[in-house]
Amino acid sequence: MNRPSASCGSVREQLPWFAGGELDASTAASVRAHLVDCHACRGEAAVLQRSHAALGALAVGDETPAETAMFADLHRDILAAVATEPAPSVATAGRASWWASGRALAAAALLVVVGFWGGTIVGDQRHPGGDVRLPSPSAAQPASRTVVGESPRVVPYAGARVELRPLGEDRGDDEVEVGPSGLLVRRALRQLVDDGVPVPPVPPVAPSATSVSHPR
Amino acid sequence: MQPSFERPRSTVRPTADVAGAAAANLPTGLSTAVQQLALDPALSDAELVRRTLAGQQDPFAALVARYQKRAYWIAFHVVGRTEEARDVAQEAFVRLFKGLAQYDFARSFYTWFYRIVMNLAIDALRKLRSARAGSLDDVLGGLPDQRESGEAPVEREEQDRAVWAVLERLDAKFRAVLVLRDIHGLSCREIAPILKVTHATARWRLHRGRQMFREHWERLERGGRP
Repeated sequence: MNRPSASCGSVREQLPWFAGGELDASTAASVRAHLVDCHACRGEAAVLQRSHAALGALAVGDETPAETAMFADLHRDILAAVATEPAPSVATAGRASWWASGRALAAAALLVVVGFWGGTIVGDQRHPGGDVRLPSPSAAQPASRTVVGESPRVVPYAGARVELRPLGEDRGDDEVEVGPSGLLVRRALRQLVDDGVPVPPVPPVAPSATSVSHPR
Repeated sequence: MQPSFERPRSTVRPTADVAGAAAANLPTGLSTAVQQLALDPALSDAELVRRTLAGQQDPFAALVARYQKRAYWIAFHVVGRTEEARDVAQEAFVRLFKGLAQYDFARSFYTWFYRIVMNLAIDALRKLRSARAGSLDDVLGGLPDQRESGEAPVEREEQDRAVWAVLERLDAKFRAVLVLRDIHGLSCREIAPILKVTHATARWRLHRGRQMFREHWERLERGGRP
């Protein structure tokens, strides 16, 4: 009868185990009963059985003389290869475990260092230009932003440094006259990192409060 | 009459411990002392390991004698090449010797050793396949070496060639479990620690591997390529 039944799906799931003879007796009996009635599943089971038998036939039977000779050579070659190795011993095992734990510690330390380094890089990427940070109201506070694992580093203000001095002295190229007050303003980029005690921040002058006239 | 689809279990299933195995399973040319150690049923593999660690040489030679054929045949059925299988077996014993001090005596020796063999064999198979990729060998299906069994009937040789062709089509992880179960007769419980997978994974790979093998086999029977 060529009639796939409702249980074909479940039977086919069992067929690889059935072909391998790995089903328990009751399941095998129900599969066998299904195969009697179902031509499609019977065909599939037959192919599985043939393929399984062909695969199992690769199992080694009697050795050929060439294989016997090869195994004798192989035994000699293995022992010769092993003879060049230092002898294993329990003492070696102790040393090996000590060495393994040492390597584990070193790996952990390396991970920590890499983690800090990675954290620093990520932190810097938030502020383009490395340590030069854009001026911001919050940055005007001399708050120290420290990264765990680094020595504390104070970078209070990242904007331009502004110095005021009385007008009348020699004026540099980087100085401009500030309005009617008679003062010169020197603007320079601050050196930010590790250059000693940070200079107290001076907030930028609001454009509305002063009028800047360019040097004539 | 009901058709019989069940096949008897493989008769080549190896025992977990070789102690008591017939001398025929040992390689020829062994010294008497090594042969006695290898055949002594009272000497477990673990005891041979202990004696090797104590500085004796013959116990390791006995371990090699017990396991070298199985190591070779497993490697051969995974790799499909005699030369590579020989190299895998030799390298497996060298690694075994180097790592002997790390052997956990609470665990089965053969599982530990077979894992070394299987890892090396799978590596060798992958190297072979990547070397063959795009070459003529790949087009031809990477024909494996045939055993020199001059008396085998032609049909049997053709069948073996077809099996190898199908095995070549399978992913290494499915091939490994098929080789261990259907050729070497290990159970899924034994296979799982060798392949370092769970028992459920080993069963799933076996189930799927047999299905894939059947699909390729059926194609081949119909006259096509596997």
